[in-house]
Amino acid sequence: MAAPVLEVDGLVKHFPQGRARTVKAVNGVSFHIDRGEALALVGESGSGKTTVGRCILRLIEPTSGRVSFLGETITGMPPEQFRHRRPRIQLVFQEPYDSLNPRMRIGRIIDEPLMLARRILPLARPARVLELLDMVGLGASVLNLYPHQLSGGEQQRVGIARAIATEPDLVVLDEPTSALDVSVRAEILDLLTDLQERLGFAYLFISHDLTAVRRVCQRVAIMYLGKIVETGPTDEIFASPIHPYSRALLSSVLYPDPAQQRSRFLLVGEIPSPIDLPAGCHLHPRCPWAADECIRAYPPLEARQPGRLAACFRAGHEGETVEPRAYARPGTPG
Amino acid sequence: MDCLLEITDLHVEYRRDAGHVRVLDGVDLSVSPGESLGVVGESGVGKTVLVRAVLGLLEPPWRISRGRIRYDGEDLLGRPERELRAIRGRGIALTTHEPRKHLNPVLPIGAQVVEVVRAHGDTGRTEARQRALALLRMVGFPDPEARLSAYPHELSGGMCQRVIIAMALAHSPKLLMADEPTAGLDVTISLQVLDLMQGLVRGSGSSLLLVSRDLGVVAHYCQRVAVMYQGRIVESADVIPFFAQATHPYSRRLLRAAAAARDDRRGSAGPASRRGDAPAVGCAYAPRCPVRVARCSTEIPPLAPVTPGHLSRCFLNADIAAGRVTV
Repeated sequence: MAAPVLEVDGLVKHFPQGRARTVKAVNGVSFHIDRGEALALVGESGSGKTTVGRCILRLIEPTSGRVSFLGETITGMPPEQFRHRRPRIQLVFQEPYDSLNPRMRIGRIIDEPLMLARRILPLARPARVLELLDMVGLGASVLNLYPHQLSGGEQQRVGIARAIATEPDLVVLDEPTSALDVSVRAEILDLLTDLQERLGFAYLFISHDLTAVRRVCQRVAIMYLGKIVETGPTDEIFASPIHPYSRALLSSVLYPDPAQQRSRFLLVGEIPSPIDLPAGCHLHPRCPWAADECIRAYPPLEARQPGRLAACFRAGHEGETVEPRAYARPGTPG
Repeated sequence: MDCLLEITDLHVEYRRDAGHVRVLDGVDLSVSPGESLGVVGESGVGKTVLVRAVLGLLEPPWRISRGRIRYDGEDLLGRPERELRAIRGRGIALTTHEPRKHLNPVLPIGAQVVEVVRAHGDTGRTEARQRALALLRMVGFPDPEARLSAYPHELSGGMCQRVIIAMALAHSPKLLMADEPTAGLDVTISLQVLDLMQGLVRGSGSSLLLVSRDLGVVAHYCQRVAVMYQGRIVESADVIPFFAQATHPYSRRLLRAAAAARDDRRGSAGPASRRGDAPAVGCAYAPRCPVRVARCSTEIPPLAPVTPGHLSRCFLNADIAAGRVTV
């Protein structure tokens, strides 16, 4: 069997802050992405999802753990050697405008990776730029425009065209739609799905928004404070989340339907600082199911159903809890 | 029906050397006592300008060029600053998005809440401090005494938003205007903040004007919806009829995009807009509208009733509502 496109094994990234303070951003994350597969890495701010993405792209070096790309370990690979792999792993950024050079015309922005990768003849590049623009739903009319002359959605299309220019095997999408308006967001998500179906890229889609990843990704990994708490096929996680954090994330989604029955599965308080991680399960101070064992040890990420893993001592035992701990309701104004 | 806030034909311009940009282009909107209204629109349609205009917070180059804003039966436009100050906070209060930017970074939050408490009436220092503690407790600070001396940068975004809400509710306003109260907050925190705000407003019988680009938030926290597009209200209706049978083509497009997330469906419709493509005449949505007719490019359609209480700014209202035209 061919090696997966990406394999992440026991990834840890700590940022020392001086005076014995360390931001424990990623605390042992393992997952893989098969060829042509789209995996979503979902979590709130501070969950470490972006740090994982940056370690994969080697923008930062992990504290420990291993990242393999197409069967080859890339952590610790000398920069000169990694350079040749670079065209095959590309990135789409969150802020479309900020990620485009304001002084370059669109044609040049898309041409630049082609020029650097030197995989096609210089004479063939203009045609390839036009082809890429067409793939992302833009016409030749934008070739000579500057980024500020495009709308946010068009800018993001340029960002995507630039990322797929070198025919990468893996595209890392870091919150590609969260800076966009609703109607534009839907268009970009459709475009990403189309491109993947047609060209067979693998995606690592990093997002805080479960609904955004739903249409694009076949599999989801949910992160909380530097660890994956649940992973499995997207549809199954949406239908029946196992981990209490996944349940809370899903029940916070407000659909545009006043008749939607809302499951009020809410967590207490806020996400703790990754400098002082709670002992035991990181979620226990906020979790309505927390029991003594959750304070003592971190639950292992175990197989629950075929293809589904979850890290929780209490999942499946929630019937034993009489009622979820009451959500602290505010008083009335004094 | 007596309205608490009534905005009629409000025009706001942004003056530049090159000319004027019409930011609000005839907004009609009203909020009844005890009602919660959601104003929905994408970025740049003028939602924030609208709430700032109500409070008289627009300064040059912004200018209100036409229209009327009535609060509690009295005109707000043209009132002297002194009288507006008396209304701000006690009558109408505002919570802003990006809460951290609207807190003073070099002052502890306790002092900032106390300052707001003392802005009206003659509350003594000790009394004001007690009131500040009560307000912070009310918005969910577990240990407010310990947090009085905290600076904004020491608090999370969610906590800063709670401080802003505490300040807005300090004088029990009759109308709370919340501008994107959950923008930039994590999802599990967003709901806590929205529940809090809804509980507090309901508990005191105040009205809520919630500005948001999230249709999901409006569906669950408002009774009525007004959709804004390019400086105008294009549709307004009660929440249930709106989400069941929105009529304006733009509202339908928004709803389709938002609903796509739920049903695993394709959501996009119509071409993307280029920056600044709003036409000078006719319906602002015409260039993107899949069902436009000739007169859409020359005339502005009126905000006309589809059913009683349900208004839509489209020439094809009747045809769309009856299903003769599909959007």
